[in-house]
Amino acid sequence: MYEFLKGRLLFVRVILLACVAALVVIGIVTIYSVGHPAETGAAEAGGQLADLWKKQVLFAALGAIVFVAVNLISYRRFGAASASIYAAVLMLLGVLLVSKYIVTLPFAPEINGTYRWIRISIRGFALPSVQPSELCKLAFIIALAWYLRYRSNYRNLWALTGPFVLTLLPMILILLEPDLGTVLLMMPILFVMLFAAGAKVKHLLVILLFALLCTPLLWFKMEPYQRTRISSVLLQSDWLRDKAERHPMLGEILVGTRFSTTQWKSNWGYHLIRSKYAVASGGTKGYGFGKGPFVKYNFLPERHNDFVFAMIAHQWGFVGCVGLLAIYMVVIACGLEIAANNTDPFGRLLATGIVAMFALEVIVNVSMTVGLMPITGLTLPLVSYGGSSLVVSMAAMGLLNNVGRSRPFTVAPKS
Amino acid sequence: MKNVRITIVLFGLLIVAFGALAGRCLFLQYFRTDYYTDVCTKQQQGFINRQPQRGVILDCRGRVFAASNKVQTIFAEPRAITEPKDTSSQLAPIVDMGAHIICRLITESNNPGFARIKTDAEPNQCRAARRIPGIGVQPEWQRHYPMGPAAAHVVGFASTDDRGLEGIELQYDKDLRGSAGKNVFFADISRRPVRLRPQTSSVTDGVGIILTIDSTIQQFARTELQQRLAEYQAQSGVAIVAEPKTGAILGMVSLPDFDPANFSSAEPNDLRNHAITDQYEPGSLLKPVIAAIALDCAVVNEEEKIFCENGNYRGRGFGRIGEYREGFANLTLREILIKSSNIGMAKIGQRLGKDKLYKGLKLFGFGKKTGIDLPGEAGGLIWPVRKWTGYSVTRIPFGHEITVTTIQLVQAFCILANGGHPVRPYLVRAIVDNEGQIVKLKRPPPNIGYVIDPKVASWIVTEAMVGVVNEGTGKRAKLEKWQVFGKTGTANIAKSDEKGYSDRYYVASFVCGAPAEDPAVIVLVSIRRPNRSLGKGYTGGAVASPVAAKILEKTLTYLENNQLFSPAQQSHHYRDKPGDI
Repeated sequence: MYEFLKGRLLFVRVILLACVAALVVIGIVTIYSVGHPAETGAAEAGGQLADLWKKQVLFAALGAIVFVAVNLISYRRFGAASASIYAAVLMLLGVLLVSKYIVTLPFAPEINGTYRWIRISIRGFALPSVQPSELCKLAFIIALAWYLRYRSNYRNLWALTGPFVLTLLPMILILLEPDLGTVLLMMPILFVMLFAAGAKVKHLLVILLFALLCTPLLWFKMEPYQRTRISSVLLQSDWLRDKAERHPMLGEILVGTRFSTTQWKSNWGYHLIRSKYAVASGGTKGYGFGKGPFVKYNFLPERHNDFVFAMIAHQWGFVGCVGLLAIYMVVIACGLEIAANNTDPFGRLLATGIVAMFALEVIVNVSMTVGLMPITGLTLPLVSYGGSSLVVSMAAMGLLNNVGRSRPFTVAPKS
Repeated sequence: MKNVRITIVLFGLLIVAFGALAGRCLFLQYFRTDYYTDVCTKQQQGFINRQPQRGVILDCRGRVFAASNKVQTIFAEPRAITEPKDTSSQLAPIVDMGAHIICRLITESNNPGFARIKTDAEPNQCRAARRIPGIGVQPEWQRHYPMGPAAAHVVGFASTDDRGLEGIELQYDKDLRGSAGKNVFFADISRRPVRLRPQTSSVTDGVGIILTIDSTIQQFARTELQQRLAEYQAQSGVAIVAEPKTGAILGMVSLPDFDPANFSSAEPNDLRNHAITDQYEPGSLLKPVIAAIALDCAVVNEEEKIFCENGNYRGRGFGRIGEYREGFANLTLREILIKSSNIGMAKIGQRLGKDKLYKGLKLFGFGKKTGIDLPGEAGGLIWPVRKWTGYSVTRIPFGHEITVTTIQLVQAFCILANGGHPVRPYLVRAIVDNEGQIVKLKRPPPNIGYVIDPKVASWIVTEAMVGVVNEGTGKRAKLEKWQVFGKTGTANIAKSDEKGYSDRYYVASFVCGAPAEDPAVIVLVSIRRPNRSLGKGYTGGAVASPVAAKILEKTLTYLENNQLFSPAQQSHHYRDKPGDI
């Protein structure tokens, strides 16, 4: 039962585990505060939010089981099975696209215009729905780590094709669902892992430059709503809004239509503004647990999952924000420690990939909450409400633990 | 070694990224927190204005001129209604309105939270309407004017949102309105109230106003004047009943009038109170005042005979002055007033000279507002002395080259009837709060000082003006029971488009009062543009004096029956028995 604790780097892993537990508890407590006490007045969302914390507890329990379960076997066996895991996840993604483009399958329904969830019910009892794109992140990291483990030929530019294909395949499938947030996460993970595997920085920069050159093309290919989300970050400035309103061309480029500040405030930039308000009105010390106007009444939609950081900032202020970021920092530091202490290239890459995923999720989520990055559907790992996200994050942490406690190969280290 | 380097690079990047996030949090939560908190508070609160009850306006005996009642208003909340058609057709039979009208009210409302459907709804209508989703009932204040047009020009009217627009309603708007309260509430994202915030202000109802007007006297005056106006097809008419001792206005009628409950459909010109806004040349009505000034300045005495040039007075610098009908030879001052001789008055004017004439008129209150408690009062016009020509000093004494308002004339005759003491007309007797306690009692100032010598005032009233009624132009105003004093006035209306006066349009006026020994009431009736072609006359004596007398008689009878004037005063009425006192 306590097998997963045994092994190397016990101190680091205990700290890691403690931090993970703390984050999960913070998440549950925040979700609880959003729904309790129930809202007075006729707010539709009130009833739903009240019970979410119980579900989150269940997911956390499930996550704990998964955390222990992935420690039962050596992480290397996941690597060996990476091809099948990767294929299985791709199949799940394919199923979603079948549902979207060919025939609507009963277990892959459309939710908010997207096909992201697989929902199976046995005899009327609904199992928690699964988000294949969340699973995909982990499967992709394992597969990539396994692919990159012994190769050193990616030191020329052409050899990078393999990893890119490995990344682009699920990226395109997920893009079609669509789930932009996850897609945007995968490319940076790939870069970090290539960097960690020893790819030439020069090559990576060339690719980055190429991607940057493609951006204008991509920009005009994007839907206006996607463009608006990205430009909203810039449009927070009064100066730019004023310019965009005066010059129709600039407005056209930024939001795809005539720009109007009123519409920006009530529509395009709505979520961003509200989230910023919630964070800023928290002040230095915050309103306190369960208090503050933004906690209830839907002033900030999605405040229990994507914008849970805003709720923490609102209730606990700057002190709470720094505290939370510090815990994340400790988790990431532990992960890097584990990665650096493993001489097995696969384990090292796996740990690096997991840490990169985790760190990027935190950075992207917090940035969008405070208005530094466009709003994407990325959750705050371990804290945001959501079963798939929580369980996958716990599994990732379990793998990290697994890597950390395993004895590295006894072969002579390479020069 | 390489592992370590990679780790350090990655960790360095992470620190930079997290540092940026923490910096942003610090910026928002420390440096900008006040600004954002302010913005949020504004967004998250709403207000409900609680309207105070508007104060009542009562006559001097407590009868209601204007009052606000609570009425139930049925309204719709457009944002809560998804199917306006269904809601309208449900509501239509309840409020007895067309469904399409209701539907339009709901869909075209500018306020997503409120669309007025029906004001003053019955209780059973309210009960039924409340059951329909999206429809609500709320109490509102509605202004009522139970006496209708009776005192419309004095009381004025208020708008539907309880702002005074005219008359006393406007003049005392601040007192009547009270102060509104504001309930601040915490609003959710759709601006629905969630809970109240701690309240800071409360509602104070408006105070009540008691007028000097007696609605009974007001009715007398209005009825009589209305009849006369119809009879002579006159353009407009004014009747004022005043108490000379205090200046209290007991009745003030301006015709044509309007219904204050429905003021928006009235002719704009009818909304004007002719008694205080119309400025006109008073004509002969001014003669007793000039006579009093002349006596007071001792430029003439009661016995002296003045040669009236047999009806044709001309000279350098003042042109030609004629009489009204036939010319006169030698007349005493009393006779000049009784016969209303223009030439006699012109000569008196010449004797007085510019400065004394001007000062005297100013002392009687001409050329400036009387300060009565009504908005929009006009001041009349006397040219400053430096603008006077030779004509002025001979024309002003019989009421030309000077414009006055009816209320100024009333004031002047009140001064004469009050023994030369200054009098200021007023309309508000007291202001009372909601418990009936008097907040402010408006007492006229005590009789301090004199405008003219009391003996002169008494002579003008009891000798000259009584003579006018008993022997002169005002015969039709004689009453059996009381000795009346009075003066007629028939003034030409100056042409508006060219020089000179119109010979078709006149202002026929009559001022009278009784009892002459100790005047209790003064009545002034002024009828503008009676139709001369009817052949029934157009002079003050013919048109105005019978009305004034009737109003005077009814008023005195009414006051006497209600013991509103003292036995001492009653005993004065019989001039034959002066020793009764």
